[in-house]
Amino acid sequence: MPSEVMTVVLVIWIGIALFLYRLDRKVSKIEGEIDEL
Amino acid sequence: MKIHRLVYILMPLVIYMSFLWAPSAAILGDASRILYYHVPVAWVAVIAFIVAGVESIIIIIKNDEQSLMREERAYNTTLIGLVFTILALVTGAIWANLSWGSYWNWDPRQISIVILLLIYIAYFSLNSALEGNESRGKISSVYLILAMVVMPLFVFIIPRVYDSLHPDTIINADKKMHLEEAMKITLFTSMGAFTLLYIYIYNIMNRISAVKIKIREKRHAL
Repeated sequence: MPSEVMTVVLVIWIGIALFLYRLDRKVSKIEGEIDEL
Repeated sequence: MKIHRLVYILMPLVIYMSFLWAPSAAILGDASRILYYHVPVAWVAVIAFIVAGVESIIIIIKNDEQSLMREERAYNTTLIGLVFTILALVTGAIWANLSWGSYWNWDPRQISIVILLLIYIAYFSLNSALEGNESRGKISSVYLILAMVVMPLFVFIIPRVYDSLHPDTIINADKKMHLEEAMKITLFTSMGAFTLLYIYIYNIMNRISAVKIKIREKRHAL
């Protein structure tokens, strides 16, 4: 039972982590573009 | 590498520790594992609201050209605090259902956290109602300071004054943690990981706010 719940929690975390990572990169890119303006 | 990015390593470790490494509690069984998520999200909510209050105090005291960014930062941390309060309420309700047989029990701790939630929801209503008003930042800041002052009453005092089904918190009457060593380590690792997650989200939100302000300034300059 704990390992099944752990898998679900892990999948949710991977989703959040991917979202944060992509958002972080996008914001860095925009920051760079604004500084060049 | 910024320290908050360690969350990518620490969070999977916490998930592993909380479900497979730490033992389950004697009476509650595997249901007790929600402790490693319920306590840290409540902890982050309190930190986020304190940061909002501190930012607001600085806004009122300094009132300089950085105030706009500080207002954005206070708004961002309050938003994070609100989301984590909802998470604390939801995880608490799940735990209550497993331990007490019902999601909602009119327990003083459940009621006080909902009142706290309403206080901070009111902040967003106030903030959006004052859009375009010159005093928006100051009024919102004063509200956040007042909210920070009453928060300990709802989080720490009221649940202790009235009889509650809620177990003793970490800061309890005999000042001892009634947890096994592995459970303590897992709980503190989880609190660290959630704190890093808060710092990470707060950092990204503040950077987005800074970008918005810069774009607005550049538009005005044209």
